[in-house]
Amino acid sequence: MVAGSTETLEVRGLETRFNARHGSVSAIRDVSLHVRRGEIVGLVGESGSGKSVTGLSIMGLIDEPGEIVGGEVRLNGEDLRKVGPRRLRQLRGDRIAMVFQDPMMTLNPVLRVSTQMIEAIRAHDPNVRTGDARRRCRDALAQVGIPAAEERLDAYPHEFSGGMRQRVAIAIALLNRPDLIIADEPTTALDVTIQAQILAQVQTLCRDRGTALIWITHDLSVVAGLADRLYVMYGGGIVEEGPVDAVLDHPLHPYTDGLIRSVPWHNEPGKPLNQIPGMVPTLDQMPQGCRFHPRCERAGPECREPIALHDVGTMRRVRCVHPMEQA
Amino acid sequence: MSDRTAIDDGDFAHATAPPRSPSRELLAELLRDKLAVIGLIIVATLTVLAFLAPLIAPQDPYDLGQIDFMDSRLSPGAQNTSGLTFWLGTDDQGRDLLSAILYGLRTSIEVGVTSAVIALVIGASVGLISAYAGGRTDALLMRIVDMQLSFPAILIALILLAILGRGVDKIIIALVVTQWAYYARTVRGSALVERRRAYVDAARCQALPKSRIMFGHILPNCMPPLIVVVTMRVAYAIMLEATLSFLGIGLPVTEPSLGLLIANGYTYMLSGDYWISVFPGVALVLLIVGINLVGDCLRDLLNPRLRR
Repeated sequence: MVAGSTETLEVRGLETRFNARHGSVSAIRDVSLHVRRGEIVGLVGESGSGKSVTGLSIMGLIDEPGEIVGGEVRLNGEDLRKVGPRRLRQLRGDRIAMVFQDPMMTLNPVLRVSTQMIEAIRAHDPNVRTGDARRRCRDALAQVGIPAAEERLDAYPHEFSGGMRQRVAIAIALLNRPDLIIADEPTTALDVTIQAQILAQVQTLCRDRGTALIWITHDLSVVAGLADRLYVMYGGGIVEEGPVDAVLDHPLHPYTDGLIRSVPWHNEPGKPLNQIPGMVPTLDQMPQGCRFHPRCERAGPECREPIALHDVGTMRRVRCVHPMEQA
Repeated sequence: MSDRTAIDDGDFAHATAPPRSPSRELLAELLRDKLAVIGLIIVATLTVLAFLAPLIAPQDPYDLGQIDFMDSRLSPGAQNTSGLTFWLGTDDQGRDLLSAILYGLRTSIEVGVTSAVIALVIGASVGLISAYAGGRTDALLMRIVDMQLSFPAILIALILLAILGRGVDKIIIALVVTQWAYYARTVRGSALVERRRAYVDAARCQALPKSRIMFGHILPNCMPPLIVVVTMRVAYAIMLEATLSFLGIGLPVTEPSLGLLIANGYTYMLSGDYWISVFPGVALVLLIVGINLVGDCLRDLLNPRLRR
């Protein structure tokens, strides 16, 4: 892809390793993705496929024993891996924000919501007056659909329900009008009606403000309604990318196809559910070549050779020797 | 709430009640426990009496001009020639024991609380840094704590006071040195758990400074066990101070604390002048029991296994 001025985030060849007792293993390898201004990108995969590590690596939040060993992460053209820790601190929470999975845990239970929100503003603009900060917090809460924002501002997190808490977390991410938000399964812990409300609001907010969004999830039905483009991850690498509708209607990678067929409603009642045979391999036992081939019914000996993502048609790329036939 | 036009996911049952801070909620629960209330009343009464000592004490026990050696070892309720009644008797130097106990309580509380607060600040900082930094820093700091805790507190205090000499400031130093390690270990334990929580990651995402994350986010979450340790340690510090004063190496004779008063009297115990030792002892026991009652109740309230 050509890096145009509209690319908010461009990640190339990102690799993060974790140093275990017996040698180090790559949690993600050769991850490349890009997000345009105002674009919503879905990042899907099973547990352990490296989705969350990708998100944390982009934020530069990998802790010991993990380490980002290669690749570049360009935010508005600036390589986050090369800028110093000071600049990174300036960007984090200001230009790039993150929403975590568990709304019960991402808010500090002993601090008032207002304290936590004002702190997020002051971290990047220390001179802002309390009155102005409160007004911004109230507006942010109102934007994510929290009623009586002024009263709720001084509440403690435990006084909010799960859905409301996640809205607060999203409001905090939105506070400084970032260019990019990474949302790591933020609606997984919520029930479907609230999930739908939050998805709709997030979609509108991103469109209105031109905020780029990476939505990490294992739930294909969420990305189907939310995202513009989709990246499918397996075994720490991206195996397929493309526009959401195209990928979901005509998957190219056998893994994507398996994922889609695993969604229960494609089944007729009475028939056993579809599953992908086998298990995701552990990181230290990642197979050579295509990492999916031991579980793949289309695999042949040539699948043991290393393979790169290659273009298929317009906008679509796949990492497979035997892609599914296109309709 | 009238403007429920926005999306509402239902859980607004207690939305009309004003938000209560965790500390106020804790206080409200504490007041529901009878023993804790008794403890609080004892501690509060003794504290108020102690700090009003200059106003309510019949005599200033530090002012040698007010003390008459002729009044020494008068029994409780006795009157001297100038008509002053000694409700709790006098000690061997003719001091009014009631006044001496009030002043002594003040000294004891001041020394206990001050040393606990200083030890808390030092210990909590060490514990937080230890937990947050991890690795070698953590190992080093915790080995120092281990070393500190492997010596009996009274031994360290004795050695220190033998070197430093007498005085309020010196005994506070000795108490801080013997106590900070308890706070450090408590805070480290909780902070290790807390720093793995998602709100810490969220705070790091907002690029808050490390000090703010440690002291503003992690420390308040370590408060429950810390509050319990503080109350218990204040009581322990007061007892330790009394012990040291009793042994004659704590506070100077001119500023008698409870321990010193007990020490002054115990030689007369067998000759029948029980009050010189017993009344300061009763005051000390009341204070310690009061603090411990509150502490026990706090421990139960803040124990996550018993509630929530």
